[in-house]
Amino acid sequence: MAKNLLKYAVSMGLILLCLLAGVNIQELLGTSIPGSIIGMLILFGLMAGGLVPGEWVKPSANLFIRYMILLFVPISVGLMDHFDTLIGNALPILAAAVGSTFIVLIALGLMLDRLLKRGQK
Amino acid sequence: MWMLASIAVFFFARWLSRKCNTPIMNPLLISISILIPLLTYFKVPFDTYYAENEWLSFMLQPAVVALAYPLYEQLPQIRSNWRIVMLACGVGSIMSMLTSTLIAVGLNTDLSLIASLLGKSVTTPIAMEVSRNLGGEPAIAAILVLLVGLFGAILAYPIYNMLNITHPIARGLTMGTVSHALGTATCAEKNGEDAAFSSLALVLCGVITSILAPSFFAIALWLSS
Repeated sequence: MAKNLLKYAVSMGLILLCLLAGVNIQELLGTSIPGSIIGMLILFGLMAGGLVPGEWVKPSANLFIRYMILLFVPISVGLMDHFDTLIGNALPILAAAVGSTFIVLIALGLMLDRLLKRGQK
Repeated sequence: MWMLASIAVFFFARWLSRKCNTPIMNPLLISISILIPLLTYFKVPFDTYYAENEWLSFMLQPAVVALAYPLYEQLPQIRSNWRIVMLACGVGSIMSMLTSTLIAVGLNTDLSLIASLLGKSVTTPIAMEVSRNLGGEPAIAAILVLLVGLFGAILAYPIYNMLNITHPIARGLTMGTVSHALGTATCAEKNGEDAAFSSLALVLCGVITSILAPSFFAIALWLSS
């Protein structure tokens, strides 16, 4: 039990440290790449470079991923203040979101499938 | 008190979506369609609700950092296929932002909406950050991500079959590029290899999109001025 708690504490600490580093780097560089993304890349680099074993990160990382949808709920409820924008712009939104998805799905799928199958022959 | 409501509604929504097992019964969609009428009924303004839930939203940032772990799990796949993976995610992210920018500008869409549209194909926490950084509305970004995710989850496999796209790497990478986590969940039901590549594309495209989105937003600004 205590050992499990320690594992969660270590993995959470690592994640928060990388986040803190990422946020500071973002401010330092003044870039628009979110600090959380920079933090993710740092954590990935640490694991891929063998400096931090993946097992140290796993417990809290899996916990975050399992309940990630809960974390979106509050911001998404903000939709209640934006129904007018959404309905007023329904056509461009649908055209841009669905149209672009459709184009990429077909073009990218065909391109990759051709490339990969050619490589097999 | 409203944070407890969010948590309770979420667990109910998750239970319900597992019971129904179709992509339309998405837990996020169910949660907001319960919470919004509830808040409206009790005449609670969104700001009051949000202030009590700030802690949950704050946790989205470490959640993005936690995505490093699934990416790390895919390391062997990245090493042996890195060329095609990079090509797919690079080309896919650029195509996705370019087409949505062009269509949106062509239809005279507000710039704040374009800011929310740019992240539509990537996973929700990243899309929200991208949208907030560019002056868009994170809630709208979240809904667009959901819309695009549902679209891919429902239509990708029928389209693959129609066009004879059969290679698991091509299927997985394309799905992860256009339909992020919802698409990946669909892949997981069909084929494990599809799902591995889909989750890889989901994280990589998120990174690429967050890096390139400001440039596409600048293009949109220039085109519409």
